Amino acid sequence: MIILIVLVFLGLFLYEAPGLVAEEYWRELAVFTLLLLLGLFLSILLASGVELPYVESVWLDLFTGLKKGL
Amino acid sequence: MDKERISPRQLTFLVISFTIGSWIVLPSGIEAWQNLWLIMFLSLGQGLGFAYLALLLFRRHPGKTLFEIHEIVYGPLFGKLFSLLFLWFFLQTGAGALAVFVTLLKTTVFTTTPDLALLIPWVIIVVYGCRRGIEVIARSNEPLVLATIGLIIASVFLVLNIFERENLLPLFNLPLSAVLWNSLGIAVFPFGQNVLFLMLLPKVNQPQKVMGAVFRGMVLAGLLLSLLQFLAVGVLGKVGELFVFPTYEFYRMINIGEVLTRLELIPLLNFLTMGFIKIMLCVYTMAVGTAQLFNLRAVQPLFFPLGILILLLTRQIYPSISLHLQYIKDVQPYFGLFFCLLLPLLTLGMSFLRGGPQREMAS
Repeated sequence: MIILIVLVFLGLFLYEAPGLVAEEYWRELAVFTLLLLLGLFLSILLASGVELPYVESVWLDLFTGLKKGL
Repeated sequence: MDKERISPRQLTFLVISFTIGSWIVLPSGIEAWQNLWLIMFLSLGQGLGFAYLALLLFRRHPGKTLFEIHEIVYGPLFGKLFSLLFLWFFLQTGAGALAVFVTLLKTTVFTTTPDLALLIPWVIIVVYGCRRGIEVIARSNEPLVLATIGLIIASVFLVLNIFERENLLPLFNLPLSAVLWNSLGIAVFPFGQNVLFLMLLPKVNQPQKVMGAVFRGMVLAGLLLSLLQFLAVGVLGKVGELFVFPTYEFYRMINIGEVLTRLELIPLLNFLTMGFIKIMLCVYTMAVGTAQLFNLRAVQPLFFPLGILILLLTRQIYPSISLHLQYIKDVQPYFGLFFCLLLPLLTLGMSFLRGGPQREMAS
């Protein structure tokens, strides 16, 4: 599974990057790579079964905590 | 990236489909069920108020997106910080809408299909649409919106034989606090999210018509949603508030002479297109915002990574729909108010305090 994810991300990178290099869009390339790496990192975490928090549960806990505190 | 232009009419249509977006299948303020179609007008008023403030900001800085305004008003460092907050808002809005539609499909039509099989094609189409640019999104949006409006108006005639007037009663049976709280919930969830359009307004080719276009879109969307809610209450009655997706359920009830039955798929597909436009706009604004945050010259390469991020976040947005309903009830009003009213108001106030030469109007 993880190999498949890495292959997909590599494919995306190879699809997009040559055009950026050809036009010398270095900043774009950097941001693109950064975002892609973030996506890769998160997908590998999810694929290997790490329990990440749910966004709305975090907000709910935060707000109930705030309400109790006030 | 900067050569793309949309007309005020296209902006109106975009506002309509963005506002209708995911609210149409999953209404907020559901505990006010029977009064929801009336409360809608109250919320529309508040929503127009929020939009007016946001548009004042745009008037003060014509031709600038929200993120550029942030940098002008707060300076580069704090401006970027505020912009990051808004990026998160767009990300969560898009992922939330996507998650709702995936849940809708999973509970109704594709009950045993895995999430990813629905999500991946969806995100690929969204990215494809975004890469074609805002002009294409706006143009393809026109027939979709017209189809949806036509369907909603046609459904008035489809439900004539199952519409019971008694179902509408009792009206006005809520305490004032509940009415205000629910109207706030609706004001921030479908209407307030239009703050996203501050990122797209500079692309409108006639800036002086922007305010009218946005207001027209919001009013029309509000009327449509109110009409649909009115029909849903009339058909389903008091039990309607028990359903997670009342709109879908009320189309299921349509039965005209045993011939026109089980029509729920038609509205479902129709509303999915609105969801598509909403998610596409979220991804598009995120890409434009990221490009401005890092001073990039091209947005094209950003769509794929952002699409992947939205896909991943969609899987982590809520564990079950009941938690999402609780979130909509308890947290959404505060969360929305912060982004739709508080931050634009703060920016507007700071902009007035700083004064300066931004007074000229784009007339």
